[in-house]
Amino acid sequence: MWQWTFKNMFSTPLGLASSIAAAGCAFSLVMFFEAVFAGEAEQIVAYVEHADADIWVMQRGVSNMHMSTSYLSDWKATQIADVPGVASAEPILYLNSVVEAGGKQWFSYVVGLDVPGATAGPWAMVAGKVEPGIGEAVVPDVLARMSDVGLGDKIRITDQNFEIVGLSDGTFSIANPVFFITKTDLEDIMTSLDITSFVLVKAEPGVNPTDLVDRIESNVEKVHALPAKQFVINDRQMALQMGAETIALMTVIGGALAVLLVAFTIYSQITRQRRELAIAKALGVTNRTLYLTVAVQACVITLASVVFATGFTLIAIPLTNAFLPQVTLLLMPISVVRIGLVGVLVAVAASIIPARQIARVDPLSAFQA
Amino acid sequence: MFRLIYRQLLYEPMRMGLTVIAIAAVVAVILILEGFNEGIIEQLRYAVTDRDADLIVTQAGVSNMIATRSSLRQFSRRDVEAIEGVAVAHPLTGIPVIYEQGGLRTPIFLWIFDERGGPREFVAGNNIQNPRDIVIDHSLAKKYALQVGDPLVVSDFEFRVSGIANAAAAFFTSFAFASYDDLIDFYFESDIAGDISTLPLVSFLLVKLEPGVDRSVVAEGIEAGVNDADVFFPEVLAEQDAELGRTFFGPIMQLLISVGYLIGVLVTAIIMFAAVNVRRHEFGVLKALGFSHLFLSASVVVEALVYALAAIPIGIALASLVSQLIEVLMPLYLILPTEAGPVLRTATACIVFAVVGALVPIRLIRRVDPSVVFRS
Repeated sequence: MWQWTFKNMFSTPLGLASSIAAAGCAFSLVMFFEAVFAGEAEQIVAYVEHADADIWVMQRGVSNMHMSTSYLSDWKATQIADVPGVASAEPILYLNSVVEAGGKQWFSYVVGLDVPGATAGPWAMVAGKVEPGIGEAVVPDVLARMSDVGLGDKIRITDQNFEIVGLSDGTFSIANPVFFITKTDLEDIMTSLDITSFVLVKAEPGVNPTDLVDRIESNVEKVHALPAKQFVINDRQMALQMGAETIALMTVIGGALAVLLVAFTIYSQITRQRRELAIAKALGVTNRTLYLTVAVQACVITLASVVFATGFTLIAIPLTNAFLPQVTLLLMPISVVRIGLVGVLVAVAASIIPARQIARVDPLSAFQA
Repeated sequence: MFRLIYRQLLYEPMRMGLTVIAIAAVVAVILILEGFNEGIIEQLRYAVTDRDADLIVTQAGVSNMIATRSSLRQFSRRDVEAIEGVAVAHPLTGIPVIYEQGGLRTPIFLWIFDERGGPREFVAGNNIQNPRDIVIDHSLAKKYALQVGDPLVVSDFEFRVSGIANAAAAFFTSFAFASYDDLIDFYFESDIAGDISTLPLVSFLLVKLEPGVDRSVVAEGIEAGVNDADVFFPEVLAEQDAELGRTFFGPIMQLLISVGYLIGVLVTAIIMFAAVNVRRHEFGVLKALGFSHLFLSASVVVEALVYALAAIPIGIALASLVSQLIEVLMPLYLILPTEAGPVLRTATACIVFAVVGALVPIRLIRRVDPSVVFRS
């Protein structure tokens, strides 16, 4: 029976390949969605992950950077620097804003650096200066290429123009390209003086960051301190949580489409094999065995579709990144596992209609002309 | 030819039904993706136009309302109200904050308003009446199972939910609405700055005009008379936010919609392949009877077109149904699957991929040997 099942399945290789490809594309749609969110989540944390800090200090009640607002009085940065065990405390001002570059508008992170600084600026450069001066900006290299601007050109933040003096690497994502200007310039844009958003703390050698967090919170009033690792985790979780609903939605839609496609393929095969199935029934093969063969076919097609989708997505990601550099895609193994599990459900659901069809096959029809 | 196709379609109604549903499902998926894209843009527009202003004043150089920070000088309101034709200028402040409960963090956009600019529609409860009242969007209430009367802590400051608003979200972010008195308390309680005037107090001014005055004339008057400020018609500002949304989400959505179209071609191809494969014997008979290869190929293409034409309205209906379901379950999203542009685009694409998909099995017909009919 099994031999017959597989023989039939592979009797029309082109049809089988088309079915696998179509259901695979449905799964690819889900994988692309997940890859977009995973890629963006990684890029969203790129700045906090690369900033050379052991501890991040912020306004009480705030626990991450992405899409949050944190204000601390400037003097608190001085207080933090005086806490025993703190090697350095570098304040930054941070703003989510729209930046205009080369006639295009970009939703951006603007980081105001306390210059000269050591921990909060760009971590890799393609060209130009690492630290901006007054009226100057360091912009992501990818964004500069997409906006057709370069060193010496101007960008605009609200009503102020800044000269591009540096092109940074790894600082671009569609959700938050990171621009660096001086804290003084950003204070001017925000019409906010003597405030800071976050303080990046370096611990003295041998000082445990967790102990230092407690010490900062007890010595400086109404601040929240977090070890850098935890701060990164919080930001990543936030970004992923924002996409979780959308991913769930696309998984359901893509999964439903895959159910239909796999069911259709098996249904077509069974329609074609109705006479052979009747013969099998007449020879004593039970409905249970036949259901099982349908379920196995569904599983094989579905799992092959998941493999196809994974391969397709893995090939498509670098191509997409090359043609659409503003979209960061990242396929996580957990996504493949999750879609594999969804695939099993798809296979079971897709078996139902063909199984009903088998149940209706009359063994007597094998003897009819 | 049409009689042949008609008979063929009616011969196996279950198969025809499944085929149409499969193509309709692809149409629905594409329309949902398109509708998702349209909904994001439309939410951005509503976020501005729902603020109910004749003109909107922003910080100089700021030409968006959502996803940006605007901070006007303290005396801007007085200066704007001094312009001839301005009846009143209502302040509005926007602050992005993170709401956290049970380890789940959600960004919310907090609008601070006095009389204008607040929530438009309520699902439950009332507008702000008492100190520390806050109105939250339906999506946030649903996500955290919040009800009217529940506390809502933001940055260590405790509000009380007085109302739940409908359709108050944009940019994947729920809105919340609070009063200026509470903003001041929020700043003081957080001990965030010695001089509160350095913090954002007024982001925008929602200008209402005196009856009968020309908006353009008043706008010019504000531009000329108020320093450090820009003035916009709400629909212009809304369109600029929509454009920002297109830059932000456009490449991603286009990528996903392209995958949707690819599925469409493949689905039609497998359907038509299966349909032709199953009927190879019949095609052999027809060839033996003298029907040309061209005729049979054309009949397959027409059959695919019939499937596509039947699937389009079903796909639109399915997309509408699923979209409504999604909006009920996830009120953060607005999905507009029946906008004229996307429907027309998708319908055209469906017809195109029906034809392209039908070309795949034509090879099979070419290879059918008429003598096959005499073998069985």
